[in-house]
Amino acid sequence: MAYAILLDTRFCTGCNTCFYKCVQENRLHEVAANGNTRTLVYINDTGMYHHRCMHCLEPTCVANCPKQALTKTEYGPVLWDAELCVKCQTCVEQCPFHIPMYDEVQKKIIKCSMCAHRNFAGDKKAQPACVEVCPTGALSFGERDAMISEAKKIAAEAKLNIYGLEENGGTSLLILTKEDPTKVGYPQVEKSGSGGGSNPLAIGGAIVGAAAVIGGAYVGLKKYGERKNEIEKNNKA
Amino acid sequence: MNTNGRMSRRTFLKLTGLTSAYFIVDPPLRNLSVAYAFGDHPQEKAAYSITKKIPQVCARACECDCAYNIVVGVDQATGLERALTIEGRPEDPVSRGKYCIKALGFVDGMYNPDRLLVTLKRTNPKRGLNEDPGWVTVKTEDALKEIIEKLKKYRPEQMLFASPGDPYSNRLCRSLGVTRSDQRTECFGTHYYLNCLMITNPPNKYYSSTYTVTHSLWGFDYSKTKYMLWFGFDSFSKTAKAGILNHIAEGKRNGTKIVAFNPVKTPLADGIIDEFYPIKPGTDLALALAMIKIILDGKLYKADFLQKYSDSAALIDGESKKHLTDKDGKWLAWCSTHKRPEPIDSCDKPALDGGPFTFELDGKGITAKTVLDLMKENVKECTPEWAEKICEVPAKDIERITKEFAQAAPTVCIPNLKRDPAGPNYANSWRLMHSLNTLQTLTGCLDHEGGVLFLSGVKIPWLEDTDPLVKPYPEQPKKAIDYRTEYPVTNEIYRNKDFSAPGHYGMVGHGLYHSDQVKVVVFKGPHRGMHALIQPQMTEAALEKMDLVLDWNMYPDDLAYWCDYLLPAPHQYEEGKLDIRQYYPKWPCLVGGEPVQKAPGDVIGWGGIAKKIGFALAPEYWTTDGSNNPDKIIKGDMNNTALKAVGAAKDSEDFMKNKNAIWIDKRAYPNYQTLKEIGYGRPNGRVRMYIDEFVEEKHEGLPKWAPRWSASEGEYKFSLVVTRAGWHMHADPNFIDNPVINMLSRKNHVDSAWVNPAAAKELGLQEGDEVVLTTNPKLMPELPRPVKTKIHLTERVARKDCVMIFHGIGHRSKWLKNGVWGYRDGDLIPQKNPEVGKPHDPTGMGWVEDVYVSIKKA
Amino acid sequence: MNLSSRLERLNSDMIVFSWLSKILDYPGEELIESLLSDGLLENLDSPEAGELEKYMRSFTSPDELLLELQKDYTRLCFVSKPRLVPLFESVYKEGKLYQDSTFDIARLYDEAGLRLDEEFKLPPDHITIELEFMSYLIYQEIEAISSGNKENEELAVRLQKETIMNHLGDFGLQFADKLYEHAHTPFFKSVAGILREFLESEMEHYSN
Repeated sequence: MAYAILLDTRFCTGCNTCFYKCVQENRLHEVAANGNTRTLVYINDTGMYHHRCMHCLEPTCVANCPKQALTKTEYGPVLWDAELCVKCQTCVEQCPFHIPMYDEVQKKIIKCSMCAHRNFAGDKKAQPACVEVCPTGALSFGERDAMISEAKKIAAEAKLNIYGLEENGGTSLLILTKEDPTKVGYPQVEKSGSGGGSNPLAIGGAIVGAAAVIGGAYVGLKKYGERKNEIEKNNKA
Repeated sequence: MNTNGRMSRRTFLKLTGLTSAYFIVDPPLRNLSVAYAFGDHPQEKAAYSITKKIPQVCARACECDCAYNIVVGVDQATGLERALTIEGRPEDPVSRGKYCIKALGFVDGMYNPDRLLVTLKRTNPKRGLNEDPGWVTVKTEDALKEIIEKLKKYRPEQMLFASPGDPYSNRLCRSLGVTRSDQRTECFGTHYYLNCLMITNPPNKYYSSTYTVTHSLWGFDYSKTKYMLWFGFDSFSKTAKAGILNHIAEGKRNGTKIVAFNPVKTPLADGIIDEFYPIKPGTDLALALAMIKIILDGKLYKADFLQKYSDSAALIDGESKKHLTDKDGKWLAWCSTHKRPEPIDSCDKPALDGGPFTFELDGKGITAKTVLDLMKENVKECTPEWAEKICEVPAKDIERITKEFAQAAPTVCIPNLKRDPAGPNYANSWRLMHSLNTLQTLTGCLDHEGGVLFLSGVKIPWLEDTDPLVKPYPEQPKKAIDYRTEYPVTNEIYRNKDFSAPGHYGMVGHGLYHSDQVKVVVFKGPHRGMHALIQPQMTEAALEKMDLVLDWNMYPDDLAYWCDYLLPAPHQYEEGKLDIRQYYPKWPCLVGGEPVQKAPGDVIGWGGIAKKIGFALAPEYWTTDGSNNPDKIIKGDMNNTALKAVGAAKDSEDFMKNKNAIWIDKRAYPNYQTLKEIGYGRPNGRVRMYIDEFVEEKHEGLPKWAPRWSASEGEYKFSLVVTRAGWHMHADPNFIDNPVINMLSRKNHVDSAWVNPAAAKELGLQEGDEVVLTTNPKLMPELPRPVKTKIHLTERVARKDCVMIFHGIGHRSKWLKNGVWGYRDGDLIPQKNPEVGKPHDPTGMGWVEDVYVSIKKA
Repeated sequence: MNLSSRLERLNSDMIVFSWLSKILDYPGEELIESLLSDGLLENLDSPEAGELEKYMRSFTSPDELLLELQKDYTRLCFVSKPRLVPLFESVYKEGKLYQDSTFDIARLYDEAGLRLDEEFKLPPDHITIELEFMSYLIYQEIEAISSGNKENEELAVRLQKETIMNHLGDFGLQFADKLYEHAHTPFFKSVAGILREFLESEMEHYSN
């Protein structure tokens, strides 16, 4: 089952509670102080721009990572593996949404994991930390298909744009905007994705074969486990 | 220091030359002690970390007071604990499981490396920003003894306590007979005083401003209301008030219509607001008066409500211009059946209009009109077209919106809190507050579900209730340093009804600066108060000449450079709490908070300080029997008393341990019941729209148009709009000394002044340019201090005639480096002396946006 | 290293750690008295010690010296924002009070059977406590050697190594550098020099 986050920017007030919750959840205080964030809301003139990983179905970062340090899981998140990463920053350069950030001090790629450690695959009530805290419910979380239906329903009713349905081949973050999303700050991105490309583990929606799906699932779960351990370690005190 | 060339291992001490005293025979321990003989410690390791959840209530971050749990990591082996984050409490009717970025910032604030951990004492007697105080560290207990000895030398009128009206401050100040004046709560004074004058004369059975942080006695039914008018309510500060936002979002999803008037287009206007009008700053009053006229002319008011629950039918004497009353003080109305004046409650058919009525009363000929008739006369000229010329909201929209609003009544409301235009922002803001309350009265939405919700059914008692006085308090000083004694309308409330009422922050700096009366100033956490608000330069100059200044604070801040002692305060999460749910008071409710951890360092609570000073200087008010027996010091059992009164728990411990720290009575909302209980003329309480006290001060009893105090003039053409970021709270170091939040502020230009791009173009300014903002010197003749800052060009400032700056973002002291990037909004806003203030405003507030500034390239 | 020179070295280290611990706590009358009277400084094998002694002797009254030291210490460690010389390890490592490093060092105290006194109200990773801890561990090493308790000796050595390599080495050197950089008084500049020199020699010992 693939998950996605739906952001209805009409209800986003730019309070950035999502940003600070993410910092505390993932113990990112020092990298955030350096200006490197997993999620941050910019109060732009035409609307709220959320700078955060789109979790593409066909992630460019995954396709271009020379060490397979980035993987697309079958349950949605694109995850980064600190141990495999050689800090080449190809992902920083290649991401069409300009998302991954490199923290020079901690030598880390900073990028949203969709709170994979929260085990939403195993716990039906679990949701990413940002979604949990959003005071107005501008962020919601669920199965991607259901989120798409919801997004389409709201968009039709309130005459909104949906960003992420097709951008870069579709993403696991779907954004509803009143204005043209590119005017709000979301980058103009090709509709077609980067494809599974050089990374055989990347999952490109329906076009990938069963073997790749299994492989991807395995890697995803492994990464999930590692992330969970890391978070537990970080939170141990 | 020689850091090169590592030494080979050697004996560091030439032992041969030493006395035997240095051959240590006992374990060399000073601050550690032996719990287990070395090597005997149990070797099985306890789990490294477990988490626990501690209920807490937000306070001081905003008025919502969201209840939530603090998630704490615990090391079982050492017993050390650390708070990690927050988890929502869905059962809390205010927060409903949500909280905001400021609450998260508070968690990290506990571990701020720059906390004040010890008491500091000045050794250099010269005060000032550029003086090194020569601090030394002293034990808090010793410092307090020294302070008490010093305080004994001064008369009450020579001391000022700059402290909010919490129970301990009140008792302390009243027992010493000193003036209490603080800026923290004062900026909400307009709401407080108008509510006191219109709705409830304090004290009443539920409301005490001590516990209702914005001095408001109500909340708004955002999730159920059908129509809301926002007069500047959608400020940036509102964008993170989770306890309000979660309700507004629900209402919005259910179809609430929201119309906003604001020169600034905040993110709320992007998606949540239906209609947005960039109103001219300081002219909301014209709009409100036009709305009143439309409602009166079209008879769109709720006549039943006005008859039963207001003074609309009350008769105002043509000569005295005050309410006419019978011998028992009951208002008189004109009875349409008997054609005579009768007490309003027992009158068969009180006339709402149709006057003037002429009759004889106690042998005297009287001509009187009803309040509603007088109101009609007052707004006669206030047509929508007239209002459009002043406020620049189209007349046809004013007309349509007003009718829609009246049609949706009584499930409508006009939320107004704190720093909205109906607050202390303009010289005419008290009139605006009066008008908004009038509009809410005309539409019957006060004390009605879906409208304005009145707090009821629960009260946290005063210290005077739990520990009654043995003898009356001494008189307060005849002349108060904040000039409140020159404002009878508000002074009467402060002196005789509610000592916790706001003082006059717009003048206290002026009072200190222009007289030698006060020699001692005691501050309670001024980073959010005296020093964070208007014209701090005047307060600073005044403090240089004081004999004794002390501050109880969690951080050393700018004010430290004028202080003799700095006493360390605990973090808000290190204290227990009991809170009413004032910001969604649909149900009587109490929530509790437990200390998350023991405060590190030599910290002392405010109650502890107050008891020590109070007992030493005025023991008769601090013991249960009026003696000076230390065993009889009052306990202040307020929380236990409140819990027992509603049957919520046996005591605080029982409440926290066994009752999930929440008590709620989900009864149906009793429409208009509370108004009856607390209003004017109780037990048949009513709203009093016509205010006799204003008449006594030569103002109108009903709202009337008046322009702002200042006008645009030459290069001083930018009206100052002050807001604050959702993640800041005054100059609270929990936020401005937080490097994560500082980064967020920089990315969102909160370190800049915001200007409309078209206005900037005319000035030849570009994004990021350094500029200087200068207040019109006619408005600020003394101690001006222009502000230097970057500018951010943005359409969010929806008008060319404004500049928006953020409140509470900077420190100035060169020793306080973290916050230095920010400017001080208050530097641009002058203190108001009574000569300036009285002709415009009988409440004596601060008018913090009533100035025009110039913008020039630095 | 023979037993007698090893014990001599341990004794020396124990005294120096204990002395540094005292001197890096808030200066009180007791400290001044002991500094001026016990002759320890003359015997401290560091070029900084001579400077330090000279400075102290330049004061005509101990009260005057004490006030100077108290002012300098308060300014450095308790007032500024950000603090010029934070006293706590976690501030250097994680930027805040009570972080992972605080918990780690407290665990080591616990392993040694020690508890922080209730009267000490500051976080347990205070420089003075970590130095005191080292002094105690060396004391226990001497005791274990004297009584032939191999297990305790190993425990004492292991805990010393962990304290130096994971905590005091890094933190103490950073502390010393900041103290040297920001101190106004020659006293604390000299103390910073002694601390750095001493910790470097300790680190060298444990990294071998």
